[in-house]
Amino acid sequence: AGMAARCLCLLLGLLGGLQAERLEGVLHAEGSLMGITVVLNSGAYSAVPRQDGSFVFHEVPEGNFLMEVYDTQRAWPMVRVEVGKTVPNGVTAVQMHNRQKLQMPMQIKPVLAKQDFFEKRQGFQWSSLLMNPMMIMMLITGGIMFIMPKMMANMDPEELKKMQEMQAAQGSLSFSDLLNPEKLKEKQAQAQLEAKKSKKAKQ
Amino acid sequence: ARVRMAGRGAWGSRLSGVCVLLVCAWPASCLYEDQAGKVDWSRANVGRAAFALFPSAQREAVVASADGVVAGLDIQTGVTSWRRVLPDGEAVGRMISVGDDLLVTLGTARTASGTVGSVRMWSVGGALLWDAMLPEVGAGRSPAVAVGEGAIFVGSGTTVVAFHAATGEELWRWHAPTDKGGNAVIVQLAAKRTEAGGIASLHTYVIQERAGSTSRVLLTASLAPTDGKQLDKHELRHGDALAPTAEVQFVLTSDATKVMTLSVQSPTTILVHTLGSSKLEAVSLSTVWPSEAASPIVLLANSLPSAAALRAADGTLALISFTRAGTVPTLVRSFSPQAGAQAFSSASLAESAIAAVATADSSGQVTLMTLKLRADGSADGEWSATQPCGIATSDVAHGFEFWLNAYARKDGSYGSRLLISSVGDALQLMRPSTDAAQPVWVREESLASVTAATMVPLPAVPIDVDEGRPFFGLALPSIIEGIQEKVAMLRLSAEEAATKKKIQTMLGDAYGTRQVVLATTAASKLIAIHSATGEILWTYFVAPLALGAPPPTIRATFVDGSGAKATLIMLAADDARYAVLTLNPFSGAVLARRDEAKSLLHAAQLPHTHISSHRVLYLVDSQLQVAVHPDTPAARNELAANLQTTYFHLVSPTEVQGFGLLSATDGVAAARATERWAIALPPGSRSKLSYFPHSAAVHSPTRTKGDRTVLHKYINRNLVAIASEVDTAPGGEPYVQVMLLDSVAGRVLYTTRHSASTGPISILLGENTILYSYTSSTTAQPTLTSAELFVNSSAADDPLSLLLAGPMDTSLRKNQFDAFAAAPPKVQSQSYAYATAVSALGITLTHKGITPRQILVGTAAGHLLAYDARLFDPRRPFVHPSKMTAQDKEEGLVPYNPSLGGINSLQVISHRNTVARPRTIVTAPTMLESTSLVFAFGLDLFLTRATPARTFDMLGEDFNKVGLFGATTAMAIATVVSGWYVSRKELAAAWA
Repeated sequence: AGMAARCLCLLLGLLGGLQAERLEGVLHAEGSLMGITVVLNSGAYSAVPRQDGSFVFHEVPEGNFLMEVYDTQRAWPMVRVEVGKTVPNGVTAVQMHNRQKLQMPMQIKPVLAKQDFFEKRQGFQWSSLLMNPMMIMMLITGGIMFIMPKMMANMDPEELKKMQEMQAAQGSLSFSDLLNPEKLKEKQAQAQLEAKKSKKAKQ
Repeated sequence: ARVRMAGRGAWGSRLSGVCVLLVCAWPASCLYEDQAGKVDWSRANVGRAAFALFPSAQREAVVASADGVVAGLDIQTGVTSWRRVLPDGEAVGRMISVGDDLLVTLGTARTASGTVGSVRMWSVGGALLWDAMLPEVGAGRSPAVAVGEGAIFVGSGTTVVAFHAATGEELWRWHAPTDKGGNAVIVQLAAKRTEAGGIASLHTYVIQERAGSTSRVLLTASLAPTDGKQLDKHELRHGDALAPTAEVQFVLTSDATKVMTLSVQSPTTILVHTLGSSKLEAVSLSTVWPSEAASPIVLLANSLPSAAALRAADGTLALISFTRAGTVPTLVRSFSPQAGAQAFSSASLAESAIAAVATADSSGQVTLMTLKLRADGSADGEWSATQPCGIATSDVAHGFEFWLNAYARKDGSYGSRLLISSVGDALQLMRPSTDAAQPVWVREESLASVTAATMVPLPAVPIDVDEGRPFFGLALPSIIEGIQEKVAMLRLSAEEAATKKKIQTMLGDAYGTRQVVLATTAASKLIAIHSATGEILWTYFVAPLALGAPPPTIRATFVDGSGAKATLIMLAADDARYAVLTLNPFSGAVLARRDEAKSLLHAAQLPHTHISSHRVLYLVDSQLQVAVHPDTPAARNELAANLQTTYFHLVSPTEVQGFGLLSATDGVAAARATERWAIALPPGSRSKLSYFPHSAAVHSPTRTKGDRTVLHKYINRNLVAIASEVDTAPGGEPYVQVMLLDSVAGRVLYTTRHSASTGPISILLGENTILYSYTSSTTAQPTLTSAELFVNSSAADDPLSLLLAGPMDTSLRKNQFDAFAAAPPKVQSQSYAYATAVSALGITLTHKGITPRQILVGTAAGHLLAYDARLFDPRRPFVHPSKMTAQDKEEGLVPYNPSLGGINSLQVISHRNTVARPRTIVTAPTMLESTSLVFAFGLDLFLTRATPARTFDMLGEDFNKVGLFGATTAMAIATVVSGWYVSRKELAAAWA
């Protein structure tokens, strides 16, 4: 009877001077097909899929069409459809993404059965914590603090003495001195005194 | 230093450059799965209910709307159980139930080849079982239908088609006899039943109009239900007494024995045809309505057993019945109108039927009266006592319709529910009960017809009330305050806490993301929605402006003032009068109202001045007289001061007219408007317009290229972009035309034409950019074209000149933009193929306009996508990515590609939600420079936040606070420990 209807449609179309084809297809997807519409040329002709995924464009005139599946949850292939007397069987359909020719009724499978709309959140990672610039700074400072005294201990005593003298001459301040204001003042006063002494010595 | 040469603009560009880098560093979307639903909400609508059914198998009401939506609503909660949005252009004209678990919708569908009839068979759970298209139906009529013997019979145009009820397989077709050159339309189908419940014969009613004659003939033919064989045919008299074919309405009694229609001839008579007879009886209604004072009389579409319901112009309702022997009607019961609005409905209950009249008084209190009708059409008792149903939404007082759901109780009595659709499109369920206070549920379906939306930030108490203390204080006091508040909240009872929370949601936040979305709808209703929750805060229905006047249209809304002192001015107008309403945007309270008996042509706000705290509104009526609001001498003076610089324009389908203002001569009006220019739009075109919002911030007048030279943007706040879709005469090629107009001078600044292109079109105007979409009519490829406007500038931008000139004095006329003298822009454009049809376009707007913009695209499929605006930059170089110059790379240009590629799901900001049939995208800035609110509306609503360069001005949600705290603590401990260690070491050294 479906064939008969198709013939009748064709016959009526031919009588009217126009060829109208019935385009049929089936959408194969899991889950609900409630929000889906299948359209030709951005809505010039539309079809609503049935419970079993099948859809019908009832009377499509001769011409070239771009068939799209409007679905917000999955991604479907686009299909180029050509309807005309010169085309074998009256209709040809080609999937755009892989140039695959579709037989009537068109069997269409989604390109993406589930779309991923979200970015993946990166969980807590020790490596990311360790790669934190503040952490690196802290580790290096800590490392220096413990390694330096060891290095000093292994130094030649003469060279060490020389270095200490050099430091004293420059009036350099150690990090721990900076934290202790009294000691800092003391050291500064001492440095000034030494400077005066050295000046006098020069004179 | 070279950047500095371009002055402030280049600084902005540098800032934007930083933002572009930020964009480059991260992917486009920035939504994590757990964020979905926290910063966005969506609302799925059904639209104005046109039909409703209560399938007995489900505890659901199935509603079909004129917008082409069929949905199942939970009868207890009103929540959408399922929804099917029919293709665009398909309207439901009738819905009937078949058995307990099936339903059929009939209507018309618009395709590229014309309008056809559509039949769809659904399960009550919303699954489509089968569908069919039928030949063109007569002038705006839905197909006629009859059901029985496992088949659905549908009459459309001149054809009756029988479908197998379960499979949709076509069983047979019958063509109505037509005269050569004449016109025939099937208007009614009726199935005559056998005693066993089968169909004896199928009766079709055809109106024939003979060629060259105005007289009409009503034909009835009876067909065999099994094969469609014509059994007999009668030509019925009184064909000329029928209403015009598009309006004629036939009503079949629920026992399928009689078909009735009203005669249009005076005195009013009812034409009754008994199925199988060869005569159409004309029965005078004089026994029911003795005088003609009550005319016009309407035959209600409700199907009653051997009876009909009629309503007179004064609201009087009459139920008349036909005895089986003859067709002389007897008045069963009548109902006199009461104050307020009334509606009639009926429902079948086993063999009998329940007729019901609901009345709504001015306060919205709904009462119900019911009457039981026996199978022979006689009344079983009197009208019931009035049963209160509670207070419905206030708009029911101005008119409503309702569907009755009657159900039998175990004790033999019957109960009822009312599904009410008010004139303001509020769908609500009510139940007769003495203690009912409000509807069981309410759905504001007018939200499916939103025409415009504005956003107003909610007032924040610390800013608006307690002005002595800055809102962004030091962190510590706020933290302490926050903790104190949390403790106080814990002490409160659950009820108090809920109230407090409610109050708090009505206060703005520091980031300004909490705003009130004021949506004007086509149903004369203004609805305020909370931007953060999607909750409806209040609704305001504008009642007809005069008694018996048509519902007014909300023409425009204006926001005056800010913070807690903001007011909303709404203009509602019908053809002959208008009203100016001042409302509190946060509570919906009406503060003032002004009514004028003039037809409104245009209304706009005058620019902000320092003279008055309120912005003056000027209103132009159809006589071109200008009034001001508020009508005070100060406001008139302000208009007089702005007379020379105030222009407005009106857009009709055929032309754009520009007007200027002149001082009034009669002394009554504040001023008068005069036409200055008119520009014709292409004939037979459909146009869409776009404006760049006046309040939107533009950060920089220049754009710095990669080689540090500067391009001057063409920024003209008077621009109007018009895209027209032109269908030429048959045989010609359709085209799309885009025009850029200066709305003050009436100059066409730019025009372009895309041949062999059709709609759907959408257009977007940015600060100096245009973006529009159309479809190629040959390849069906949706295309987007973008254009950027630049201008030559003679302003010296070397450091010495900038230093000597000092800041530009914009109060000087020579430094201002002159619409009449400014040179037209230099336009650069590019086109791109897009993956799917575009329904709406939008652009993000931020507080200072520094953040790079995002282009928002609403697709016909129902996605809302956000794209980096750089993808639509007409300066995209035509080179291979590997051959990009260093300068282009530095400028952040993307190499040109003729296609924008497929839809990347990470760019879908509506994620799992569907925004069905998007029409418009409205954006609003927040206090955060990075964030813009995006509100897309169509059949559905969707609101989210767009952050084109991520939230660079606030800590990300995924910021590792534990890591920061841990690192700081560890540093502090390390400092103390190392100090102690060193001092101990020094001490040891000193002792040594």
